[in-house]
Amino acid sequence: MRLFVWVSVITLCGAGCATTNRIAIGPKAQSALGSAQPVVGLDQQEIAADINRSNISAATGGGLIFALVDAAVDSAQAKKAEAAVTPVRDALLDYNFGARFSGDLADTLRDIPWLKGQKVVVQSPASPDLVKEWVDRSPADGLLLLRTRYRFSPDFKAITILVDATLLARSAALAQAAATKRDGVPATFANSFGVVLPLPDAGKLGRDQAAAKWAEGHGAAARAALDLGAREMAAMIAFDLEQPQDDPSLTKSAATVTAPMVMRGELVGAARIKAMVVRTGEGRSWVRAVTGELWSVPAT
Amino acid sequence: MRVGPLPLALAVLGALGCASHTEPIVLQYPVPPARAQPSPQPVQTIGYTIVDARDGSARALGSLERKRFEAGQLSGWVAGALQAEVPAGIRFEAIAPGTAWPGWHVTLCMRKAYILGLADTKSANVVLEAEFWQGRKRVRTAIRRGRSASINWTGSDAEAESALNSALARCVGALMADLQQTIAAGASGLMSRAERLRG
Repeated sequence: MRLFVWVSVITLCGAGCATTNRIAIGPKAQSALGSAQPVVGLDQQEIAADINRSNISAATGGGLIFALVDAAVDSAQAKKAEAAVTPVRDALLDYNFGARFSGDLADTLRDIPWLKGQKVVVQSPASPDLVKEWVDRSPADGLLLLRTRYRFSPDFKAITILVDATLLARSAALAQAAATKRDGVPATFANSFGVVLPLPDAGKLGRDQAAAKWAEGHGAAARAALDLGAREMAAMIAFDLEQPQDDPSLTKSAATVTAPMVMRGELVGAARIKAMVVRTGEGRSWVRAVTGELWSVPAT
Repeated sequence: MRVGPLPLALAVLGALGCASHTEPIVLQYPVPPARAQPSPQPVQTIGYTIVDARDGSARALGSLERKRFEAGQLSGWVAGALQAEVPAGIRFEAIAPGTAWPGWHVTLCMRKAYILGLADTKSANVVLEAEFWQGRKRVRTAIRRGRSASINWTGSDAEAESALNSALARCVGALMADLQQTIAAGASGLMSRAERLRG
């Protein structure tokens, strides 16, 4: 199957931060898990823009002057990107992505027994120093933390939604079954998810024209894309929470795809990665990277 | 791929256990120097009410690099900007929500206030929604956004505050222009009605 995929991958976060490797809920953790509180950690108040970073200093072998040139170019690009995104932000002033996403999560997580009946909470800011406090305050055995970001691609031809999910243990029994630690708390599940939402009929539109197209009609295209993205993201998370460590879907099919690399929410380059098609339908495919991350991308 | 010394240092810090943290900041709008000469125009007193109606957690102010900012109610900060950016011939007086005010008054609703980092740039956004009232009649509504984008040097509290103050200044400046236009249109409307009655 030929896939042209706009996949972003969260990598290279370093020890102690979100990792690319998926950790499934093991049988020991499953038996210790009576309930969990889902929390959406969302730092953004509005959709973010992105830029392709200047690379002059790398091309010229480095040096302070070229680094300063890079900084100046990046700053000019960032200012233009911020100006371009403003009409879309204005059009989406009454659109609450956090509420939409938490509503979709409430629907999709309903079928998971240990998440049944738990209200999805949106928290901001969501820094690690606050996470420990939330876990301690949680009335459940664990806290399902979903750190969420959403932004335009540098050319404004796509919106990408990214979520780092971790199931953090509060109860001693669950903590004992934890395979790793996140934010200093024992974690029994960890994975990263992405949804890529291209602008319909973007063709050869320039950045400002693409931004204008997202914004027109009270942000109709952006609202539709974010609604779809929130739904897809919620469905993928619910699906992945119940998959074993050795996901049988991994063996279904494989394709090599082009993947822009994202580090801490910023685009840092592109790479060819191998990914497996997990599910296809309604014009979209779910693909899993060999390191376990799950992506929803347009099927072509 | 270019990796500057600052991102490299941050990456190392990140690798040593995610140096991200939350910083409570107290936003204060700078008090401008006193006007050298008092305005020759008669002073009109405008009442104002400020409501903080931001989505979600009312404390989050966004983040720069790995530092996240938060602040409590921002009504005082907006009131400071209003007093500092007041046009000549106008004096603002705070009124409690729901209080009957016979003349011109404005209700300001804080919709957004945040800062974010993009590459080496910091970008602050402030969005206020204004309702301009004349007595019990709402004459006009306006939503204004103030933006400020500049190089992020250190990601300090002072830098974040300065960027947010610049964004607020632009937002309030636009609303002051709206206010003056609305009052002028209201006054000319009254005059033309009086002229019609005389005619």
